[in-house]
Amino acid sequence: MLVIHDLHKNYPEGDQTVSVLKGLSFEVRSPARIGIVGTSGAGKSTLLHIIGGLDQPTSGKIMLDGEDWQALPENRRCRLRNLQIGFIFQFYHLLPELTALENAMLPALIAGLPPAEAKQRAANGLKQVGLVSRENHMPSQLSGGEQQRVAIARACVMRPKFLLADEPTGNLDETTGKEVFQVLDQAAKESGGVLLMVTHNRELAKKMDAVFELKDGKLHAV
Amino acid sequence: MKMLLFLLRRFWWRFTLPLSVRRMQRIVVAGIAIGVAALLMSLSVTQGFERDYKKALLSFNAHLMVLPVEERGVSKEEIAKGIDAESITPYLYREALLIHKGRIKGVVLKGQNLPAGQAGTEDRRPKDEIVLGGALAQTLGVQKGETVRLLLPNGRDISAKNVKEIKVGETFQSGLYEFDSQFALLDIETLQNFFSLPKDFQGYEIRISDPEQAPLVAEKLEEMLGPLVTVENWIDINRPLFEALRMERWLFWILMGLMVFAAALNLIGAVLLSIFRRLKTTSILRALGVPPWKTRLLFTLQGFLLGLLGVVLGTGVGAGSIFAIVRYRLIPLDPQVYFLETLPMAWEANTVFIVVFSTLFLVWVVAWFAAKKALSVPIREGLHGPG
Repeated sequence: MLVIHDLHKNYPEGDQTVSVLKGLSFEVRSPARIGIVGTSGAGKSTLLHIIGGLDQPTSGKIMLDGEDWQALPENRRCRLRNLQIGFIFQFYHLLPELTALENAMLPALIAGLPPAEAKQRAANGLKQVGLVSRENHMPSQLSGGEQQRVAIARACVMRPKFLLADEPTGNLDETTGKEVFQVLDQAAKESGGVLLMVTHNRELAKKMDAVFELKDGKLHAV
Repeated sequence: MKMLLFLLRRFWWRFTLPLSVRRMQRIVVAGIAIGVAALLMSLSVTQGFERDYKKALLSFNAHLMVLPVEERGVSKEEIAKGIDAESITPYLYREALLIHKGRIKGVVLKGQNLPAGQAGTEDRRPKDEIVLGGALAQTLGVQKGETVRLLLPNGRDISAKNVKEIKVGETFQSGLYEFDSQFALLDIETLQNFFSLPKDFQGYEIRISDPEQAPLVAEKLEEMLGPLVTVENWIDINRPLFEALRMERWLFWILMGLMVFAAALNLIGAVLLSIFRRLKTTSILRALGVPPWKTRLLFTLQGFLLGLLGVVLGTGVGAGSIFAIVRYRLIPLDPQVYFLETLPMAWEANTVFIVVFSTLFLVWVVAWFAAKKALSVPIREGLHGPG
């Protein structure tokens, strides 16, 4: 369960302060697939980063399965991020030094699983996203769609309760975008957790259980 | 830790960093290697000098000397009673001028019981023979079997009775030019006769099992033999030489250590550049849940590996150079200046351990501080950075 209460985020911009999130409150229970849409600069990615602990809010509270995200010590927060949150970024963000399989293994290795088990999990993940034959390829040898599928396999390898996808199809052509979305959708359904997907693509957002628009620093049901 | 090693292996062997960064890393490794090699070699030179000087000094001189005194005769038995000595032999030093074929040289005459045959025999060299240092014989152009003249400083006038002729029986090489060019050995009784000294006017040279204990044994002997008797030991006699060598070693430590330090500081640049080029990688790892201390450790280990490579290379180059210089006598010395014919070098495990360990420690500290930078960029900003 994800609970967000009175979330504020301000950025300094010269002498001014720009408020991106203005008392945003939100609650979602598993399983759920939530789409978040909004104009550029509305704060969609910022919201996702704050939920994932990659950024700090100016004020407000985020509860992940009953734990106060902001009150946790840094090491515990990293541990929770590793075990309970899977990130999918617009630009895939795979490590260029690692093969597809090794990239998918990474969260499991960070969690301290034995390499053999991490490899098994990653191989299964790549199989689910249809990349068995590409597991030993480097990211530079993969297409954008394939890289995003590796990123999905990586995000799901620890079977997290929360999948946070930031414009997962934003860098792909329409056909590939639809394919990647199907893979992501399937992964979310199998995980039985919460999928929060930020997107510009309203067509894709409509396929989610609920869609919210981030406007004036708050979420509005669409 | 497995994850860090997994990443380190990939970062090390899959060359995703730009060539300029890898070049800088190579320069850092070369700098540390040169510094470590220079430090090891310079320390081995000072240790080599110390070792060879000690060896030569102890082969020529005893560990302790009970100086002769006119007022009180000291017997061998009296000395043997108080300490556990390996050998106690009488000796006497006097100075004279050695003359041969128009050449003249001031020498130190050392009277002792000269052994004639092989070690362990009681035979003594004929009393009418003198044994010259090799360099001294060369300076005067003396051959074995020739006769030389000694001008002794007896009385106030130079007269015929102060000139003694004696046959050269042998020459010796002590390993120290200072001894070989100044000393002549002859039978102690002959020397006493030359200088009209009583038979009991002699000192004693003492050898003990542990030469490093000489100052303590000397103190003990002085206490035992009373205030009229002076006991000298080889460490105190040669203290200025050893102090100079020790000072030289410290200077090398400081100067070459600074060189290693400067080379290690270059590591900061290499680590920072590596962090900058891997900003995105760092942020991805942190986003996936790698805690800050492990992220820092990852970059520390990368820097440390560069340092380790430099230390290993430097130790190898240093060891190889020392071996070659010693084995093939590559650096000759002027024995009149350095008392030794070639540059002495000593490879001591303790010194190598200290150099290697302290350099690795320094490298670790430098890398650890530099790696802090990996945490300075917020994750969301780093995700848009290079690498």
